[in-house]
Amino acid sequence: MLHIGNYSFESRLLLGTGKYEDAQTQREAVIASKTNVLTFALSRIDLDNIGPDPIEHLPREEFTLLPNTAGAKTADEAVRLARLARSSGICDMIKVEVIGDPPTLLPNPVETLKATEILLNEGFTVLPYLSDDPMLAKEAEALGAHAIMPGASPIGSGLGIVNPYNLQLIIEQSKVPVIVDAGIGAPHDACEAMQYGADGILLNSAVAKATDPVKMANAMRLAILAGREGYEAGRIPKSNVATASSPQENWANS
Amino acid sequence: MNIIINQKNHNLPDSISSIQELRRHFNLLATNVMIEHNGVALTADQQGQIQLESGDKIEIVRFVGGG
Repeated sequence: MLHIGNYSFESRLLLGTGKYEDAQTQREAVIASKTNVLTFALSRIDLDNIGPDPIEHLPREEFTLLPNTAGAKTADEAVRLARLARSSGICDMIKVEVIGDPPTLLPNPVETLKATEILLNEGFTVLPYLSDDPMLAKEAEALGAHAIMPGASPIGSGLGIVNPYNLQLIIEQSKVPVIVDAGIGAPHDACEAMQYGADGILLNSAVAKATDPVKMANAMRLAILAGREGYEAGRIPKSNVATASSPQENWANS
Repeated sequence: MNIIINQKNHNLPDSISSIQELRRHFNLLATNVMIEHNGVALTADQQGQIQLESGDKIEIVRFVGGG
């Protein structure tokens, strides 16, 4: 079970809802992933073209919603978006996301931590999206963040874990759950993070933009299960020399 | 009455004085939206207590796909 604040989830996969080609594929991918948590963004409604609810095809009541503060460039904007999300009355978790500039879209750590502190004081369950910096993770944890969400690599890049050293430091030091968020490209990336001891994975593009998103959703589910099992099982230490697995008797003719 | 909605000026009939009437005017009664009034996010209960005034700033947002 994954525990974040007062919430408990069977699945350690948190799934984003952006970038899908069509609603039906998305629905099937969400089901295949067996996720319990769906992330959403907030957007101003176009009063001249209201159209259908962009997420009406997802049975929202079956999931815990994790809105993000995407679009915010400052702590104040992130706080506004978080309050708007909570005013819906259907969620009090928030992924604090204060994004810097292209091409990296890396989070702005100063504004992210500011917003985290304000929202914690207002009783939100706060999950800050941060760079994979152990000191930032420590600061967020000290503020009282309910989970730390370090990026594996830039959003949507699919580069996987570019700094396994930093990521492992964050996982080892953190007393709150570590959810690796952003940059996961393939199932082995998710599995690797889980093998290190991450508590969960948040991903979106890797499933939404896969050739077969439904199949990839299931692959990610399995990879995360495998990584978690591997972590709990305890891997062998690495060695620079071989250790034989079979008897080494001498069969040379003498 | 002039109301700024989602950063655009809207000249609305003076008969619109509540959030409920505003939602009806824009055909949003059956749509899941979240509303901010002069910088304050409103719960459903709070929406019923607001008296709109000229110059008010409203943001109307909804959940969309995101990661």
